[in-house]
Amino acid sequence: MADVEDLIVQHNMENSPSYSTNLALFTNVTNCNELRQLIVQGKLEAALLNACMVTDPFHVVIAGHKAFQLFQQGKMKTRTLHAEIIFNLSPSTNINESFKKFGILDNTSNVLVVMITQGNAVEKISEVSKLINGKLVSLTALNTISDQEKIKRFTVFQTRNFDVAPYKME
Amino acid sequence: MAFAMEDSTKWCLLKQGAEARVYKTEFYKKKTIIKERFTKSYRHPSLDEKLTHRRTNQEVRSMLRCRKAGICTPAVYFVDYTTHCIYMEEIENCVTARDHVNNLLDTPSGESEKSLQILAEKIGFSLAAMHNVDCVHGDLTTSNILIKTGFDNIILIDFGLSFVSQLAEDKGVDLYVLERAFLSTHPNTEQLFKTVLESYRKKANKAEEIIKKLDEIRMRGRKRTMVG
Repeated sequence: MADVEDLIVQHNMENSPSYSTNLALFTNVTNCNELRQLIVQGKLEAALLNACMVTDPFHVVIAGHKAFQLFQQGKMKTRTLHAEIIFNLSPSTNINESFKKFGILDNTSNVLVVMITQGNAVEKISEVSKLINGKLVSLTALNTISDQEKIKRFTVFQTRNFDVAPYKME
Repeated sequence: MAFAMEDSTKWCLLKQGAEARVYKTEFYKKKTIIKERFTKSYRHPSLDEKLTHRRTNQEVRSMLRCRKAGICTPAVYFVDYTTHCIYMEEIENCVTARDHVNNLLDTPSGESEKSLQILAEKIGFSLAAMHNVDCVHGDLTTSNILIKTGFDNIILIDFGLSFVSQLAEDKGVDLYVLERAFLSTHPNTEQLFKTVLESYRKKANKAEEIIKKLDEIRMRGRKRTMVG
């Protein structure tokens, strides 16, 4: 499973380094319907994001950070830690809408898996990746997958000057 | 709290004010500025909590509001409401408008004259855009305006005293505060500030009303006289 390990990007939580946010990108996923069922049943503990809606991993890592902190404080808005990540990514305060936009739908083909785990996550993620009918690729592919137009439409900014803060993860 | 303590070792204190401390650190490998509003022991704990919470909230909201309107402010990465810390983008390679203007004034030449004019125009436009979305900064000084090398626009910082208001009075006071700060830090720049106001007038909604208010405020000072 050496190559799985290479393709998973792990960020230790600031504040509590024994936990980490792990990102793995899958393309050509065909069984989103099934995956959604698993999540609803609580059998799959991960956040599955629509990779088209993510411009940069940094956003996701921060969403994970916030979710984890609210989880520790017991102040989450949603029911589970991983649902909270999806909710945090969205500018909307409507949970259902956030899931529809940023979570996966039945026909989603590019899926970004986010898991918050304690200690080494490779095993857990490998387990999850067995459930996903798709190809695990490097996170750098996100550049070509993310749909800037769609994101712009959803996050209503009045154009101009967004090069002030390039949210890029080094 | 325990986490914050632990982290403090790698937090490097930049500045301390009456209200908050500003640190420099890294947050997920990104250079970050942290503004921490500390507890004040002379206030009743529950009042303190409420005030600090509200101010933190207000600051972040105003920054977002301005950003949505296309005004450059540091990007907020994360807000910790338990320790009242705002994690935001560190703007690198920048100088405050204060230093920039002083430098230019120290070396008088046709060129520096021209870049001062351009700067004044930019300040006017940005303020107009900010007031057009009813955001009042509350603490406009040239130290709270950053100029980043290689970046066209000015960057506004420190929204700690900002609030949302539609009143021409509040916007007028905002301009008045800037005028006072401007003229006291940079003597003999009346002409330059006029340029700021002129460009403000071009872009701001209800500019006439606000400038009229400004004249009124100049006569009486920032605080309104309460009679009757």
